[in-house]
Amino acid sequence: MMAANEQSDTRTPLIVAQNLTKSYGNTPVLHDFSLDVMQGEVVVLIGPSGSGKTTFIRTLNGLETVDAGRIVVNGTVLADNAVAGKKPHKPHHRTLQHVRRDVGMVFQQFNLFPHMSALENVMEAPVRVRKTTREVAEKRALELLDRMGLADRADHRPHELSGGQQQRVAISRALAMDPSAILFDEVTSALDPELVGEVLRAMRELAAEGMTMIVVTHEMQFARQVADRVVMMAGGRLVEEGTPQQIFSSPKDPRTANFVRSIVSPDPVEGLEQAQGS
Amino acid sequence: MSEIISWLPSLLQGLLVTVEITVVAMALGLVLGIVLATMRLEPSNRWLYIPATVYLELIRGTPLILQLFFVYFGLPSVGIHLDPFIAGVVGIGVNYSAYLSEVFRSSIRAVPRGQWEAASSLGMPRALIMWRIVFPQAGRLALPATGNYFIGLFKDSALASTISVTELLFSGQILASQTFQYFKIYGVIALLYLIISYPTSLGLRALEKRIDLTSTRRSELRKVERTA
Repeated sequence: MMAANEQSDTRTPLIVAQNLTKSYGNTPVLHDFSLDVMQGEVVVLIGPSGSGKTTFIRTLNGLETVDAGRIVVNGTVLADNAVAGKKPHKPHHRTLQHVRRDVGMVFQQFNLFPHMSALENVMEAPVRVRKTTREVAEKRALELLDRMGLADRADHRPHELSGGQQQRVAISRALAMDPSAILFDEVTSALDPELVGEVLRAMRELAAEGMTMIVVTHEMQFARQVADRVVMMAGGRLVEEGTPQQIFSSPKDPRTANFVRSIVSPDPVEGLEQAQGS
Repeated sequence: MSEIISWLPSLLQGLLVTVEITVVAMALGLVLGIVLATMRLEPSNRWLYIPATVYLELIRGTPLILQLFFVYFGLPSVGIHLDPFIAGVVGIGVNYSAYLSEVFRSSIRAVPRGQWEAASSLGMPRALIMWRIVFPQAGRLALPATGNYFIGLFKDSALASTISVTELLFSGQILASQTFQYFKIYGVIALLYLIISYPTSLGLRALEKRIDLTSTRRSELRKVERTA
């Protein structure tokens, strides 16, 4: 296991997604979408809503399936290239569990377990899935909560916590499984504006520690400062990718330019006028 | 007054039987109800869904008293002889399992999808998700309706008198046929039912409050428990 990881560090990407295609009925959500993510890389996906960003990251831990394409996560094949016209085999549930134990996910709506304290939320998977002893799991969970600035909230239930605190518990919960990568699905979109900063700060620290992260977000400031690579999506396709510098300062595709302008614009009315004018 | 006291031993004996029927039939109803609810969770799983649905509609579409007669008077024709108490418990338990299963099914369905997704994204297998994440939340949602059915079952246990179980109502009928004091006897019986059902419903309401996730014990208390 370790040897395989070390091998994959340098050459092969940690996550490989090739030619992913998926549609709901006649509506395509992913269209020949490919993306590789290297170990330690922070990739931020941007694009208008409905562009397939969320669907894409959900395919990486099997919460969504694809109609065609190939997905390999840390050496485990989740989807294989379909024979033309045939859907790839649905991965075996053990394969899914294996990948999910290795790839964490943080959700827009936090999805903490409401009947458990923050500490129990973080301990649950290590104890029940990894069979870590309670003592070890509790110690580690307290460390993680402490790192997220939540040491004094360990015994609070989710409803006793603010949205920002809940989301930081959710990040701790994902970290407790020692994942190779974490998927972030619009994790600040459901937060009150004044709580967004504390969650982004936690994510920035993770990135600095070398965590592999795939982040769907509308926080352009975060993308600019933290991303190694920004990927612009529209209509299920990859429009453009590059460093934050390239994407934000000199986008090649007019759709990227428009999107970035509309989002970054400090004045919503001005943004609206620009959108109508174009 | 003294005659009421003289009736009490046999009425209290009957009340004990009533409580026994209630507890055992409820236990049976809960277990069968959970099994049925699980069978009906995925309509696409036809081998489970269809038999469970047939059972459910059969039970809900026919009177409880008929089901009791069927179990007690009907089954002996196919060689199954049950003692009245057992027949009563089985008949009532099976009947309530149908209603309870619908409560459980809708409660399980009411647990947000995000809970399933969060748990599966941690690599938890399905059975573990059910056991650790879904059931504890569904149980809380199911409690009020389940409590109502529990009290309903307690009162419906009087139907067991029709298959000669000497529970509270039947004990009273025996006394009444000897003394012809219908008013007093049925009045006392009503009080005895109330003495059990009213505190029970108060207790259930307190329990609902206690396990409510939004107004439960304070975190300091949990910390004390954890570190103790």
